[in-house]
Amino acid sequence: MFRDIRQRLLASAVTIVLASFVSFVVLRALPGDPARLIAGPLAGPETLAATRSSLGLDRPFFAQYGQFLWNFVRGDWGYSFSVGDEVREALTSRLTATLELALYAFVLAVVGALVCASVASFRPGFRRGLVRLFALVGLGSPPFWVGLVLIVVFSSYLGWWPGPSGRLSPQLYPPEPVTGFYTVDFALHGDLIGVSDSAAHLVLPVVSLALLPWAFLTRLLTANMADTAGQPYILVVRSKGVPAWRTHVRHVLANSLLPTVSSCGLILATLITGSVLVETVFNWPGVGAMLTEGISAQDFALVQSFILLSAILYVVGNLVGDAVNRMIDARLRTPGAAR
Amino acid sequence: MTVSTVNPTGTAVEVSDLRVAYGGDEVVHGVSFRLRRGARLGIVGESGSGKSTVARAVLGLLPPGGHVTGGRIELLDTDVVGRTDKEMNDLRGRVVSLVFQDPLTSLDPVKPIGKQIAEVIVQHHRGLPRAEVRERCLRLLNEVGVNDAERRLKQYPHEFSGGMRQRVLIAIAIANQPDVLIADEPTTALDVTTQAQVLDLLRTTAERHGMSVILVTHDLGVVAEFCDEVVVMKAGEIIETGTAEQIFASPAQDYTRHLLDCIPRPGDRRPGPEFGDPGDAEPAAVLTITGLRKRYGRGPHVLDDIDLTLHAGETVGIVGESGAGKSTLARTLIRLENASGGTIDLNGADFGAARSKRLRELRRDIQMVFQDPFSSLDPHMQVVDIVAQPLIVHGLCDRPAARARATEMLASMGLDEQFLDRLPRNLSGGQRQRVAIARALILRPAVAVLDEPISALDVSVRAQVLDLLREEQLSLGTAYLFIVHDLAVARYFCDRIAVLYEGKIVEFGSPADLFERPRHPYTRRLLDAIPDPHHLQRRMKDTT
Repeated sequence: MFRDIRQRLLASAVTIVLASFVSFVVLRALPGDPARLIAGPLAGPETLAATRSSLGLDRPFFAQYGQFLWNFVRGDWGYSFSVGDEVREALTSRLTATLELALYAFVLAVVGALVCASVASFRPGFRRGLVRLFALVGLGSPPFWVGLVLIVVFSSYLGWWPGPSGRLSPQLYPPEPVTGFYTVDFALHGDLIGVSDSAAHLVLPVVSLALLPWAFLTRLLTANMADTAGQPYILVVRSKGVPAWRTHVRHVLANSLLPTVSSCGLILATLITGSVLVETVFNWPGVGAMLTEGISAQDFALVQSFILLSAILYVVGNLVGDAVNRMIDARLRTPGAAR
Repeated sequence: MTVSTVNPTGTAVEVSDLRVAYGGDEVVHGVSFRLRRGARLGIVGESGSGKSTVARAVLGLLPPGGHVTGGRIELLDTDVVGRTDKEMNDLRGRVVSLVFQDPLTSLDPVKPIGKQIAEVIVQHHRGLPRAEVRERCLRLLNEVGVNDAERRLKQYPHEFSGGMRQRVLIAIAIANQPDVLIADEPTTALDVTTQAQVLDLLRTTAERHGMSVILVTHDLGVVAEFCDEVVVMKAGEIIETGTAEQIFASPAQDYTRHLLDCIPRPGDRRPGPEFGDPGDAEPAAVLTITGLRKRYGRGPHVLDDIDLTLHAGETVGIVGESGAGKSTLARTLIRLENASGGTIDLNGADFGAARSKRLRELRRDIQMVFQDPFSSLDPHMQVVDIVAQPLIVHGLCDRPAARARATEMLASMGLDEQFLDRLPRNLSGGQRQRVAIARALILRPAVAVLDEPISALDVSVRAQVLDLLREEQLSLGTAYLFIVHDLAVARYFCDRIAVLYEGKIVEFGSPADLFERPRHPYTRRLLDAIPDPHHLQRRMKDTT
């Protein structure tokens, strides 16, 4: 088992390094010259060369790559000229905003899917049809469009929740950063108004971001549950006299979760890296907008670090998914157990 | 609801004029039978006869869409038809319980065994102290013969063998000492030796606790061993009822007689000349295996030094329990897996070492028929294409010609034109297996490896498929390597039989030698375990 874990960790490390390498290569293969972009169109050859050497671009390729990795590990992620700040500063403040959004959306998607799928497999007929309809609509609606509709209905028309005004109402100051999550930081400082205001600002973007994975997981879980419910061991459990709902919670759910958990790591990663459009719609100061700018400006330091960071998040998400699966299923803990 | 355990009439279950429908289709048409207290009733029938439906109706657990449309089911003199699920939950696991078909899939794979046994106890004894629950679980495991119960409680189903899992299921079923035990094909998925042990265990526990048993099975042998009364079902109706002696000694109905006839009797022999009659020329060896070994990783040898020769037109049977290496032998022989040592000589060519293109060419001469025709046929391909595919793959003819040949082949196997464009799911089990056989034999291979080709089929279809295999063998001269766990079938069909035990061939000889003069102790054990409907008297005496 420890050999197994060691192998997984090693494979993860290799994945991260490969991702960083590919991003490093691809960025440099793109047409254009960052030194020219920084120094401006009127700069002469000496200025260009000086800029280049200050960026380290005159050094051999692998030396640049090695330097980048080493600096990243040390916590020096370089200077972003498109933002005008240290990459680490820029990324962490922006990334926590995105993460807060993504994590809440993730929780909503998973919990919502569990409820919906349970309803669908437990209550045939009208309610099952309703869940199917929801899944279909959810899978077919682009998140940014859903965001716009939610703003129109719940903010402009009904006025229940704030519209696209970022993370907080303008009269409030952001909390002293501890975790970077406004809801959590306000709570830590005991500021209840802050908590409720930041939470209210989260509702609409979280729902629009969660809808797609929510619908996807609902479909997946419903199919798994139907499959599990037909297994002989469920009949055996029922023959013990265990009521249907308890059978569902104790046996059907656990067995249906297995294939779902593996895809959760992927979903979380997609939420973090794919929320650009929703962030734009809601004026959310997330990492998305900054990144698109960085890419068009050929801001190597910023983009590289972000890609490396998302690779790490991705891999960690998958590792956690695997670990959870192992916790649920004893068969995965003993290597070579076929059934 | 309370069901009185004092029972003046001595009837455990009485089913009268039971009708069950799925949607609008009635599948059980007025079934009536009575189970005395402490008695063992067998419900026998082929797939689709409605036997399992009846059993599940008694538990009130029909599959989705199924419902009782008429009649009564009296459990200890109380009608249970139309009870709410809540009321039934009170009965299930306490008054009536179930031992289900396939022990491999009947336990929740993600819960430890202990929890699964405790579940049924706690369900009916709320507030029982944990220590007491645990104590009962241990006692139950000991009672059903699971050793080292303390440790076993914490283990998961995959750490148990098939037979052990069935014991656990029996422990769950008897946990609250129910009055009625319903056993739905409890031994079908087990080896002969394990099967005998599990039946024994069921019998003794039922007797000890005075439980009445309904045994649902397709296996007449099992019924003969186990039941005092038998109900024969066909197409949703009971066609014959009687004591076990009556049914087996003098069946009144043609169908029952037919079912009995489908089981080969000790003296029965498949048609055609015997192999190796003196006076015949020495037949050519088509497959010679020498010193074949197989191991996975650094594990023990699953196959250990196997020597075997197959001659043209001969059938060699491989018998043994699951885990003996039967299927590994088949898979290694056709090079689905590579051997760890030894040679496989096919018609003079070194098949065991052949690579890429050469391997493909040689494969024409060694084909396989798999156990389960439900999963060994591509569900999206038409029957005719499935059979034609080998010809096309090996570049022997173009598609129209291949389809023509396949049509011919299928016709000779009794599948006429109306079957050609069907998908496998629209065929019965027997028809699917014929398709699988046609696919294997259309290349006229020198050797066909048959891995339990009839064990997934109904009894009456088995005989047809065996006959078909024999006909094809006589006309094509194919040598069969016939992997089989049913010894009666091996005796009926094979020219020589090899007994495989722990990866080694421990005995090899003609059926007559093996069955009348078994030398190896394992062979003897295997023979003792066979339930035999034609030798009914043997066990009946022990129990009455």
